[in-house]
Amino acid sequence: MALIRRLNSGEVAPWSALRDMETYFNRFLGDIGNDFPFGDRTWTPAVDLRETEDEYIVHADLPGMKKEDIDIEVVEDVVTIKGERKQESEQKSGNFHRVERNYGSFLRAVEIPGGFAADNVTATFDNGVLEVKLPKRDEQKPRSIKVQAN
Amino acid sequence: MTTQTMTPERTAARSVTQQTNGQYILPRVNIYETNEDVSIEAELPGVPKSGVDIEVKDRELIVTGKRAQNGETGSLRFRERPVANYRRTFTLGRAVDTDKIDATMENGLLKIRLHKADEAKTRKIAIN
Repeated sequence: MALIRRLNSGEVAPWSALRDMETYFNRFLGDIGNDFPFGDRTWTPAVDLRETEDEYIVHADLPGMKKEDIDIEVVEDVVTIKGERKQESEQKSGNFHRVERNYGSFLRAVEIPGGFAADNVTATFDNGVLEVKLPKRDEQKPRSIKVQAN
Repeated sequence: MTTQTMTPERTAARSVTQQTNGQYILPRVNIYETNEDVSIEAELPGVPKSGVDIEVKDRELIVTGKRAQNGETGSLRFRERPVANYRRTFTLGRAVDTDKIDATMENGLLKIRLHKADEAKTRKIAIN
């Protein structure tokens, strides 16, 4: 794609050139595939993993999602967060000038070192952030051993 | 008499890409335009409604989002989510009526609707 495209009659040169440059560089530096933003693409949300004495905590940024559209699965040592972000109907009627948000299905599998107690996993979704708490099994929690005198 | 069509060069909102200044990061946005308004959707995960600040100064729209300080416990194993707060500035074209801007925030997604001034809306002319 040419960096500066040829002018059609009636176009103002500086603006179209600037816009093309910006599109060109954004495409180069940003996500590949913004040409078809609502297609069948997969994306991965950003995730943090924290550990306390009693549990592991996973946070995932999923802005604009509804909690019904998020699935959490646990098997063995792995917690999987997945779902799909669909295009909203009101967007279909407009012209897009910029699309940076990710659409389509997402999946993120996090392996928890040592595992967790699968029966007691809880999750909340607040302000677009999913928080999954994975309690440790008893043997995973640190226990201090007292040294006894002989 | 010339008819004026809405070309991308005459859009109401042109985003101004800025480098992060070390304190803020740019949120991802969608910008789309209908005949009546221009909408900006900004992803601000972790920001409560009270943490959103929208300011219009001259012809600039400045969106700031401050993440909730929820005192995350425990030690960090790995981090991918940004630590910094969000900020992005947009330049509003002449078509936007800066008195008519509304915004909603839900699940970390901010939607700003910029209403166009009447003269910027395309009107159909009937032929008698």
